[in-house]
Amino acid sequence: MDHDSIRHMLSEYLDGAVTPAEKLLIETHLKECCDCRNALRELEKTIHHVRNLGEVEPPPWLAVKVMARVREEAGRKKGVLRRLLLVPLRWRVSVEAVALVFLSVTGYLVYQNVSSEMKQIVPLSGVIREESAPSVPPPAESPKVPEARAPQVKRPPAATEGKQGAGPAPLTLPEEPFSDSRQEEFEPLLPSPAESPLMAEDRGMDDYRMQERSSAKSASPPAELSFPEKEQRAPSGIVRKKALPSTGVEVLRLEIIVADADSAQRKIEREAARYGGIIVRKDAHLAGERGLVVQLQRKAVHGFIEQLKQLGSVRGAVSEAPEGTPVVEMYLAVTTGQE
Amino acid sequence: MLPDEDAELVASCRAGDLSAFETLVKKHQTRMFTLAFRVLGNQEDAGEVVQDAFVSAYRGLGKFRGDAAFTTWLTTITVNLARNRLQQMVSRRSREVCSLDDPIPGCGECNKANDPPSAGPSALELLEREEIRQRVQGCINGLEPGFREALVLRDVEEYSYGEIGTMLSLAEGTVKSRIARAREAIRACLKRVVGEF
Repeated sequence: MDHDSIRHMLSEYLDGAVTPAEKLLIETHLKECCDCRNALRELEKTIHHVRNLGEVEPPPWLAVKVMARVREEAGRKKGVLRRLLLVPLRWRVSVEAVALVFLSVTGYLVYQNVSSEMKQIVPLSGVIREESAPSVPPPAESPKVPEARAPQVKRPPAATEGKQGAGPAPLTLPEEPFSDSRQEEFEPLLPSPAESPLMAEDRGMDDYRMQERSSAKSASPPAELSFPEKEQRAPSGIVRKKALPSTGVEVLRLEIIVADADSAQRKIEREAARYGGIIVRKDAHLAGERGLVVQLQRKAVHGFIEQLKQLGSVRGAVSEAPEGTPVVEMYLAVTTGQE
Repeated sequence: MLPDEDAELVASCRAGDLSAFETLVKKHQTRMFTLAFRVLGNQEDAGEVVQDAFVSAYRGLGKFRGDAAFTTWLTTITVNLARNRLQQMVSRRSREVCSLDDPIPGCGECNKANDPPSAGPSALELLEREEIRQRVQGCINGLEPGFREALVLRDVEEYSYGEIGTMLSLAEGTVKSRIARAREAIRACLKRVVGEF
């Protein structure tokens, strides 16, 4: 090992980072080389000076600034973690996709349901028919009325040909007539006894349309069940919310000729309520004519007609209703004229 | 405080205890600041580097495996950041960079090295003064960055060659060579500055 090599190894020699063989060679050379001994001494002093530089006190604000930044970093990291851990992006997208599909399917089903119901709602035709049974076929054991004996109204010639027709047709009353003394036995047809016909007028036409909806799906009623054309053109009637529960309704058409149609109509409404009947429909027409559709229990019909006779001249006919029909629907045409 | 205490503090930090990290900061800030100052040569840059080092350490606590001491890990971060800062400083004053034999830049007193030794106090007395310390620091500042880091880590922080090689990602032989050359350069610088040893 030559002089220059020894000089370069003096730093490691001072650090004790040389092998024992290198150390022996270096020390042997140092005994012989004055320059290397001086270099070694100066190098020792240099290291001493550098090591004795001492510590440098940091500024007092250093730790404060560091911790301020660290706290800011911690808050940011916590916020990021909360966002990432609680709602990972891929989960959030998945949840949103599932929610979108669910809403779409639900919306489609609701639309289908509402649409099918809306198709069943038909405009008010002004035709009042018996409240039909559910559209599904009746059970086999239920008594089915043959078509030939279906409820029908044989309108008198006067009803179809107008008031100028023949004289009043014989009035056929329902079976089991009874007197007013049995009125207390009437079963009220109104949903609530306290509810007056006038209260029923406050109800909207939608209820009636909903009732009409079910019956509109059934076969068209016989022509005899249709009311006069003028009544169909002016469907301004107010209906009761609930009709009488019955499988068949006997229809009775009467014409009452009175001096004051308005007053007579009010009296008819009062009498109908008194006999437990329901004003199903009220029509107002031109020329002072009024139309009322009243549903009554069969046993109350007799007394009710007797009351009508006190108001004016009563004309009309009763169809042959099926036996056991508990409810009679009466169309009352109130006209002004000479009794 | 034992190194195990550092490990416990680190564990507390990982659990979200900021006061534990504050303890680590207060414990190691002087050493890190000294290291940064010796490498960079000015307190302003050293302060910024130490701040960045601690924040980086906090961010990287999850990556700290504990294979080495926390101080070694923190020192590595500080040295790397100081090196980056030093390279920026050097690039800014690239025209001012001079060889080890040139007068030391930024050190007015050191630039008097070309002057003949004064007949004042002896070298030993001067070395005991703060002025001599500043001159030594000035000589260190005259080293190239790679040599500066190795010298400071060895003679100021007293790390072994192996540890320095790990920190600087250098072979141990390279570390030995750099330290030897840096010491020789400082010796020559000091000889010029303060005269006879």
